[in-house]
Amino acid sequence: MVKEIDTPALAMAMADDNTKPEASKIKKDFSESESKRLHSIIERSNPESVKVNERIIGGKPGYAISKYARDKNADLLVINSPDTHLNLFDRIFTHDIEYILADLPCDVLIVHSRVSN
Amino acid sequence: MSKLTHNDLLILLAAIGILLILSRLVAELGKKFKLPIVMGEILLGILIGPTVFGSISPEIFSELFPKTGGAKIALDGITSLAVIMLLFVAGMEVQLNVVLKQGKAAIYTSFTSMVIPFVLGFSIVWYFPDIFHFQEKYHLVYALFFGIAMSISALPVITRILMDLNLFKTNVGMVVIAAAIFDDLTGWLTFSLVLSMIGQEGEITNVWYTIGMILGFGLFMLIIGKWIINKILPWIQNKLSWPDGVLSICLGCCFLGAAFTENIGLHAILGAFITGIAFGDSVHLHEKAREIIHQFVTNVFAPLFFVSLGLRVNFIQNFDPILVSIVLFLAVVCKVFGASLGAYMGGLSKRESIAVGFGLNARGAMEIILGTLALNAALIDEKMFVALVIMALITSIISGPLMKKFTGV
Repeated sequence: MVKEIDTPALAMAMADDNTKPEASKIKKDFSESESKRLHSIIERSNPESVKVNERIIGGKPGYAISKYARDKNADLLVINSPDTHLNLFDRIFTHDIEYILADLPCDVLIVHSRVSN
Repeated sequence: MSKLTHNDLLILLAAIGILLILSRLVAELGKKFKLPIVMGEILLGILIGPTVFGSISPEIFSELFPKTGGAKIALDGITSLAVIMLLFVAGMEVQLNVVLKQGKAAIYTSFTSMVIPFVLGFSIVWYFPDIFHFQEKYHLVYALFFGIAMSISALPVITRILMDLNLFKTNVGMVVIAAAIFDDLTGWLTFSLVLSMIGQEGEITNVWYTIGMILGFGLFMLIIGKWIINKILPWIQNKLSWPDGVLSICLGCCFLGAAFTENIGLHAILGAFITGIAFGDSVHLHEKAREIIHQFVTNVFAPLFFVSLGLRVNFIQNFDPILVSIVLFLAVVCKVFGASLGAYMGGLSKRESIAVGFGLNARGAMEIILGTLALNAALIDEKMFVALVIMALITSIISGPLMKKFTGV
């Protein structure tokens, strides 16, 4: 189970007055809080005997997961569908899912999140 | 041909050295009180500029920071580079898909936090021009400028506040970030239009030509430029020396973009800003590369720019309490009302909406850069510049505590 974290404007805000340990701590805190969220999602889904590896990756959503799947030589990538119908804006400003669909890293299964909620 | 004399070089190096060291010390001091770094830099400029040091010891001041000569021209050149780089890094953080992804609340907030302050600011100048001082021929551009000055937000200050309050990844935080990104984008594009409307000789140029050129350059960079960047960035980051390669190419493209827009009659900041968007939007730009570019610009060039503002303007002589009060009142009311209304319409609670309003009210460095460029273009006078700087500092300081109050963290 992989969760992507995107932190817009964080590099800019941290550029001016952070010492190195502080900057690392901020990043670590982000990663840990996302890790907790991922863990609670997995627990809720009750995987029982299935062993689940949890990973947090940083980068642009869609692109980061696609690159991760490619790097790991994954057999199948399971993702959720976009929450809303895509429109013209999503064509102009690349939607996250397009990074995956434009250059498939492996087989992809899209779970319809609007139906499964 | 004139060149930098031995004495000019000496003065220039001493001035840069003093500015860099003192600004760092002030920044570290300000950090203890959780003040925005730009505030310390401005205050330092006021202290060592004509306002304080220049009036106590005018001889040493004019020796170290001369008003004419090679050292002055060289320092002006460096601060111009700094503005261009600051706009480049501001552009790097403009990611419009972040706005779209946050949904209804972010889209409504982005729109109202830009449009309402802009319309109110524009209308005040348009219908009550006597409050302000400007040349008659600049009525329209001054009204446009004031509208933009009311609507712009400072993404770095806002992000910092959200991080300190631990709100960065919350719903309120992401709405504020998304709206600030949108306000930055529309604000700087419109401001480039305003600056480009004022020609070299101070005449008003053809507005449709300027709009056409801005759209043409923007579309070219965001479609073809971005495609080229996506092709070359992985190669630069893998094959060239790290981080020298990516730093040189990014800043090189920033200056070429700025030179190009300056050449076609638009302002250099537009080229830098749009080139920044094209680089920042690329999925291939490593987070580490982004950080290095930010650190290079923020810690070396930004202090020189912000401290140098205090060196050129006397803040006491140009302090007009009525103008400062009007600018501050309008800025806070327009922005907080506009942003809160959008957030409320987007489905946030009343308290959360007001928190969003105060968050976006922080103007910080962006407003000061805007004011400086308008002052350089002789669009505003020094009194208005001082009023904008004070407004930017006060809104940045009150933003954090007021957000805290309304979010209850």
